[in-house]
Amino acid sequence: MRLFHRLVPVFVVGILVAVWWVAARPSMIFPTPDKVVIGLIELVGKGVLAQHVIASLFRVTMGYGLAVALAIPLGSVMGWFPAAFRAFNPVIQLLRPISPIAWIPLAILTFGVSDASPTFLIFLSSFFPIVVETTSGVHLVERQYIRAARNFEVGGFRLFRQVIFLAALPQVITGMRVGLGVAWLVVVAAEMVAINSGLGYLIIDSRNAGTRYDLVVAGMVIIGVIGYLLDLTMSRLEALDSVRWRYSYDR
Amino acid sequence: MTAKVLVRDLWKAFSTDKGTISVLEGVDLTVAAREFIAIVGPSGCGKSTLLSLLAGFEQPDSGEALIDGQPIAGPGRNGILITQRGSVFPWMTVRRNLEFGAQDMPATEREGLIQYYLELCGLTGFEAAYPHQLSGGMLQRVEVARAFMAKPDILYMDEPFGALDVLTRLRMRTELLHILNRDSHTCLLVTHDVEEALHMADRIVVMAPRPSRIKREFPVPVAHPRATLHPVLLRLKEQILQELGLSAVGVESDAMRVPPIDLMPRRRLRPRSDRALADMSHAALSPDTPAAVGPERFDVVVVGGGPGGASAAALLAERGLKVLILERQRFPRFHTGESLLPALWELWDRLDVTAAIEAAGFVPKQGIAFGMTQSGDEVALLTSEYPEYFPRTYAYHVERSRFDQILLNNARKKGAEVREAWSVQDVLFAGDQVCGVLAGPNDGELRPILADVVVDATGRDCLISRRLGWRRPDPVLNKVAHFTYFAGAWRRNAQEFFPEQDSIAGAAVTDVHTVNGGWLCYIPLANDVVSVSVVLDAKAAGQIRGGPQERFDHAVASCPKVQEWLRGARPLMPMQTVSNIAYLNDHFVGHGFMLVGDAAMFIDPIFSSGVTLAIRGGIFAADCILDAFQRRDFSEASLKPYEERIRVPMERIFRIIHHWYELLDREDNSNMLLRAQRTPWLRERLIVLLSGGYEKMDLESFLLAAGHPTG
Repeated sequence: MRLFHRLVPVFVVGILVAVWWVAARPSMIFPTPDKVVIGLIELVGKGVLAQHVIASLFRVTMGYGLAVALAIPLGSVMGWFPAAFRAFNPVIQLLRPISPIAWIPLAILTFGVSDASPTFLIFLSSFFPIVVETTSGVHLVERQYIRAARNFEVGGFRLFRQVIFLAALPQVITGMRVGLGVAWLVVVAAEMVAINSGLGYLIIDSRNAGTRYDLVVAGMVIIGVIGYLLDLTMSRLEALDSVRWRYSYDR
Repeated sequence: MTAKVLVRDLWKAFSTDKGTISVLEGVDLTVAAREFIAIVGPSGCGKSTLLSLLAGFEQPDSGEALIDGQPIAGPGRNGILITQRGSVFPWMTVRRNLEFGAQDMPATEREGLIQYYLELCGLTGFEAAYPHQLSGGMLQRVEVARAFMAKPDILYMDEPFGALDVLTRLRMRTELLHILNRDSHTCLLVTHDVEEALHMADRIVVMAPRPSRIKREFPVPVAHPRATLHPVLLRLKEQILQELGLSAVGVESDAMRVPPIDLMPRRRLRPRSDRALADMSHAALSPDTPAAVGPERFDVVVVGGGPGGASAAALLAERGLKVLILERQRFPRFHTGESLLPALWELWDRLDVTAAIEAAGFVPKQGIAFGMTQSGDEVALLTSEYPEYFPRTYAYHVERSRFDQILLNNARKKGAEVREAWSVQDVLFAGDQVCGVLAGPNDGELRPILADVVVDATGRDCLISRRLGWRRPDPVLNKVAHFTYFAGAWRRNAQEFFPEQDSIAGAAVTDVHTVNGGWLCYIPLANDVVSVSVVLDAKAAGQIRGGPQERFDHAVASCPKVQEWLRGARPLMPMQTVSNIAYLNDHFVGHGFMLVGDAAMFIDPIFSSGVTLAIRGGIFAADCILDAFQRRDFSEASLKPYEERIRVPMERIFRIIHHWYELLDREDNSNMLLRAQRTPWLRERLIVLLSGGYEKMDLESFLLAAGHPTG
């Protein structure tokens, strides 16, 4: 039975690939799955694929890392001090709905065509979900935990480190998971316009430089697979014993 | 001495959208150090606010609240607040939670304390568990353990067990009392459960709304452990309910008969085996539900696997009832040597163990030889002198360990389930009806075991009667017994007492001799072993300097004959000591339970009456329980016939022994034994009595014949 459950998604993917294959066969330009696979092998063989993947991941690491490093402290402060919340929340809410794509021209203007502009765009995209979730997580820490800590005369930064942050951590992780998803989404878009390496660049270049649609789709597949793996990694965090209490419906 | 907690004219109001709500309106309260106060009252009377204020989480509007004479500065480790919502940190393991309670303590001291409270609160083995892996009851124990880690002076408990199911709540009460017993804290408990308050508190404070202040206080003058059914508590409950406007007098007595058991199932999304207790559903209490769903169910649970319990269980199981014996020790359990009585043959036939006992190789015993050390007189009383009273004119000297094992094996053979090394922590009441026990393997998890009838055969532990306050000790008969076994002691040739045709090969008599401060019992057993016990008046024993061995030696030294017998004999074990204070319980039965054997009554061992009475009681109890199952009526009235039957022989022997000593102490011509030498009529009665035929003679005429002025 378990095996069956595991096979179902594989089956669904198989059907989609088959439909794609049948639909794409009459077309001269649209690549069939087999062509995509051959294209992928070609990319791997030339060593180009690894290069692009590393470039994209590097930018995500930089931008996302920066976002985590800034958003969690800011969110914590906003969640804990009502004054900070009142001061920063309007700005955050104002900037949050603006798509990172809209920032591309300004990013290029400011940082030029370098690693800095996609890093900045990724930072922007993941910063807001993390801030918002952290703020709400800290704000919603159940009072009885804080009362208990005060009862044991635990205060100051120790109160934050041992109680408030850990109580909010499950929600912070949710924010980080959403943030990473958006970051990966944005890195491709950013690389399409501003850069000459990375998976986004691979796709645009394949189209421009020789209408290699097989390579375009190969790039898409790789993006999908890596995005999926990243999300899987983040969901592993949610299974840690110290945060599971919040997700489990067990009690 | 200043009060630990002093509250004077305390006022507190909260402002809400709908205006100001006054919560405390002039509360006065004084709590002494180490006192356990319960505050009961309807919701909205401000009792939680009062606690929160004392714990430092709220500030009063006016009035004063002092702890140790000081105003309360804010929350602190001095007074820990435990609430029903629970504040165990779910992101930390049990161990980390406990560490949190004592962060500034040096690591080694903290480690010791953690181990201590893990052990005390039954959390050993769960150090690494996260709270979401624990049951509700265990979680609350973590809460309590963490509170203790801070070494607080005062514990504030706001409905601490409110979120737990009824059985877990009952168990937590007992456990908390147990924990508090070891450490001494001042406790303030807020609860809406009057029974909980009555069970735990030294004093109960009733709060009422409009105006929200303390209306009345009730001291609870009952020692722990307390029985829910204790008459004083029942009266107090009635008064408190009246104070709360909740009692309709007249209806109340009926209401008390209706079991207020509300075993609601806990809502769970995933089944978990470690929550067996939480799984109590009221469905599991009805007889037609398979037992696997909830707690175990038996027709009868017998607590204690000694002769009384094993006899009752054997007869019940034989008739097809589902019977469970819970025995704290593992058999064969160590016990003294015992001189059994010929009256037992009829009982053994009934139990179907005659053949097993005959085959066990016990030493036959044909009578008793009484020695008066002072005068040097010796009186031998032999059952065979009046053979028409008993099926056989002898009984046995037995090692109780082997004898008890035979009876327990018999119960097992008849189909009773026997769990050795199982302890019963408490008796479960539904209203005033016993509905089972809370038990588990020694040092294991406790669980409820339900039964229609619980037979208390716990011997001198008196599981139920102690709880109900039924035990009436007789301070006149307060004895201490010291006993041990010897190898190589002299064995008397019993033939000297008998005409040849009456003598049984290898037979012995039980030698009973007076010694300084009491008497001594010399029982030859198989394999060249002799059991010797000295029974001393507790007061006389207290005057002898030294320990058990010195007292024993002192007593033996006062009886040259026995001293001579023991010359060169080798003791087989260190001296054993048992405290033997006599007692008689007010009642032997209640709704759903019976007391059998020593659990009903204990009297001086001089007549060796204990085993006979226990087995007889077990048989009578079984007869009565079988009748009760016919009617499916387990009320006190339905079980009463047992008490009526067994009380006759029990009270008879109690009274005789009560008078025995003063009769025996007379060393002149009025001494009962010496008179028995001359008076056949008295001799006959004495022999029947010493052979266990308590129902076969008339008490008054016996006492009259024995020369007791009042009879």
